[in-house]
Amino acid sequence: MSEKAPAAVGPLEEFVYDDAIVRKFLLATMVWGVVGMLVGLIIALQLAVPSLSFGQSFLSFGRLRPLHTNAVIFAFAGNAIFTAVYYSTQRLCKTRMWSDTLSKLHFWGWQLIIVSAALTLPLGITQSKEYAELEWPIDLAIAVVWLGFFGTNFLMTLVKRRERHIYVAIWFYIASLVTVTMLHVFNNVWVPAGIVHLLKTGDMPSAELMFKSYPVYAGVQDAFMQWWYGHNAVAFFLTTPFLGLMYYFLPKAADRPVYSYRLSIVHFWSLVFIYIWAGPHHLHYTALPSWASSLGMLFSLMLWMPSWGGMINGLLTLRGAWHKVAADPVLKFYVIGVTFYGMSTFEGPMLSIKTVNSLSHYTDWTIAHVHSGALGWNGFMTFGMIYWLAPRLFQTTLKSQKLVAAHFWTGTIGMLLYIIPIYVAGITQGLMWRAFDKSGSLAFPDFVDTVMRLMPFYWARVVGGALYFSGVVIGIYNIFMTWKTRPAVYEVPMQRAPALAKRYTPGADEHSASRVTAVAGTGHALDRFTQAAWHRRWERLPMRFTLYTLIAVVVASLFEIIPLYAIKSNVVTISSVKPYTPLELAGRDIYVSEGCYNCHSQMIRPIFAETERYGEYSKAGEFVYDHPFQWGSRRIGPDLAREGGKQANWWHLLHFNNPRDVNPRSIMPVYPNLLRGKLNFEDIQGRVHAMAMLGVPYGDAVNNAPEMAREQARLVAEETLLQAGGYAQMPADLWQKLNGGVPASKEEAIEALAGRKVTAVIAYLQRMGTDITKTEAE
Amino acid sequence: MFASLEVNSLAIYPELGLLIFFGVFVAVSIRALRKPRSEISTCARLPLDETTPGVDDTKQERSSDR
Repeated sequence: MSEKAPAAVGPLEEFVYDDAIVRKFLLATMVWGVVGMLVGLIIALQLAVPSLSFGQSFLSFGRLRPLHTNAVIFAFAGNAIFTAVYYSTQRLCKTRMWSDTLSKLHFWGWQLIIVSAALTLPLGITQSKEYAELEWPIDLAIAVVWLGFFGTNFLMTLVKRRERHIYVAIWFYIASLVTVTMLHVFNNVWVPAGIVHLLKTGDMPSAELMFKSYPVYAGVQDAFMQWWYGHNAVAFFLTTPFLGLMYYFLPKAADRPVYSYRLSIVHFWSLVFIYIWAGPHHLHYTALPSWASSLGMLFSLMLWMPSWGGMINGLLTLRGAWHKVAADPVLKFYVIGVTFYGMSTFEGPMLSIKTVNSLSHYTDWTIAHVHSGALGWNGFMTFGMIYWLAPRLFQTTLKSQKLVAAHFWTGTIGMLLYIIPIYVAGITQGLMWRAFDKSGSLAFPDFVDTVMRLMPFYWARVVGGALYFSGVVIGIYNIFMTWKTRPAVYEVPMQRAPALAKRYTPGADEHSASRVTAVAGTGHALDRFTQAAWHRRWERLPMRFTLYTLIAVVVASLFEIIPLYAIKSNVVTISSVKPYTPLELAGRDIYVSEGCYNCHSQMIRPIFAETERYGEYSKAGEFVYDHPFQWGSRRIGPDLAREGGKQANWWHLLHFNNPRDVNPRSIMPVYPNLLRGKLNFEDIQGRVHAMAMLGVPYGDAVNNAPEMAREQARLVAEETLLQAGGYAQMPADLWQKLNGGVPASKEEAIEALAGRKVTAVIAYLQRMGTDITKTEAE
Repeated sequence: MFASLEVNSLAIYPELGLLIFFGVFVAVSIRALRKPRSEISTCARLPLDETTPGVDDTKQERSSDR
């Protein structure tokens, strides 16, 4: 009958599971969940009340948003994944994790990475690539911890298992492991500016420069690589491991096997094969070649089928057990979680359709979509797992079922209160941006009008988010009180299972004779193929299974990556587009550091409403020196691709000091740190060296970047003072920040202003999008 | 070999991609459908059958980890 039949088994062995590591990951999940969601609540409040950054750079929206996304994805969801993997893998493989030391190194290493992220992101140390913001030293640590500690331990556990068949949940874990490794490595190929500086000059770089890196990809190719990563981070960090979680914990909680194991096989391979193609749908109508984004759209639409196959499989597992759902809060969490998975995976393909995307992209619609997946699918599946695990891991009873129910209802209502207003906000935003009046002019030419219209929705989101967060706090309290009633010493039940025989003896059905009797040769071979013993072999050979999964994702990736990089006509160069000057490069790095991309795009799509509002649409050739690209994915503020020359230097200076001084309704944070902060001119040499190493033709600047930057900074400062009507006309509080007091002379004023970070940022802003209007001589 | 690639020859990539996907899809579907019912049932029950049948599991260790 089955391949489990003990045709040849090894001796009976005794072992115990390592639940201590599962307990650690479970507690870390809850702690980081609170931190990540609290930061989310704070930034939601900041959009309604911008003064809540309190003038502190480390509290500004641009710096905190990456902290929120990284914390909920890699800290909350990441620790939840590890909780699920460490608990279920041991039991499905009937073995303890291969190495306790690697388990501990993995746990503590991962927490250290999270702490590093929590420290560096608010300090503005970022690569600015969404969900891959962490700088190069932390990237290296992630590679070591993820693959070296976790990957080795996980794969070796599979090798040493005592159960022949590898259950489908583990297939999803394998796919997550190999694909996240691939994504992380290829999206984080960079040149560390500080190291380059040290090697070229022998001078020790500043701490700021030491952490700085530039991606080897530029512009269009960087954007493609980032969204290949970004989309698949959602796929292989927030989807496949949670599907593994679903396939293990949902049958456990319902006490019945998964509805269709056959469907789960088709679900797995279809999902793994299709998901990896879908990334370019994040770049519709941008400077990315349209063939690439069309391909992304096609595969995104196909993705709907396997996704719903998984959802249906999950929900139908509860067939005949719906009476349990009414009584069991754990199952309630799973039902809502899987339902939200279905909703999100219907909406995702819909948003990938170009015409829908032209309305939704850059708006809060995407934010609502993401949160329906994150709060509903990831959040509720995690909480369901935690409530199921807590009494088992802490060997006691759950403190209060009523509190679980309170968490469930608070979370569900909070989630709906969050996403529904934000859906409305997103669609409102998109429609207002493209609205024209009867005269054919933009109906809302002032961008801030569209921002103000969203305020009620932003407040509703704060209420919804606060409710969801309250539910989490209730959950934490409940788990904490449960943990307090744990026994003095945990019991560790001894497990026994026969070791797997070294040589596998197949079941009778695996070597059945060909059913083709009349036609030999081809017919026989075809019949053997359709008996599919090959897949059966994979299912008991973890390393081969892992390899084939890797091949699936690599092949699909290469089909998109090779033509994009190999075909020169994808990125038509523009002769008037030149590298940024050293000062502009420094200003750009500050723009990156402040996380401006979180609110401002730099990509004008070839859509009439956009070219009317922002100017000429963006061309691929304009970004060839952009390491990294700064196209953004959201427009809380207006697009800045053609910002150069739109406003005076003086306007920008006032705007950074306090945006409300030039636009009373603006919700942008204040940036006094740019006025107070001194620009490190010596560091600029290292930045230019690194860019030159990437092939940016810097010419003379390679040797005297600081001098060139100082010279340009003086010019910018002189022009700014002129626009202000002279240094004496500038407000005293401005000089207080720039110079510690009003300067005594014009020269002192120029020196003071030229030496500040704000001058570099202004130089960068004034350059943006202006190259294509210049002649080559200019 | 890639230097000679042109945009108008790109159609081969999605076409091959689709062919590969459908090939795998068909093969996996066949595999799933041809798998014996008993084997499917055993696999599906793996999360629910974590103890080895007929084995005494009363022997326990103690852990000081709290």
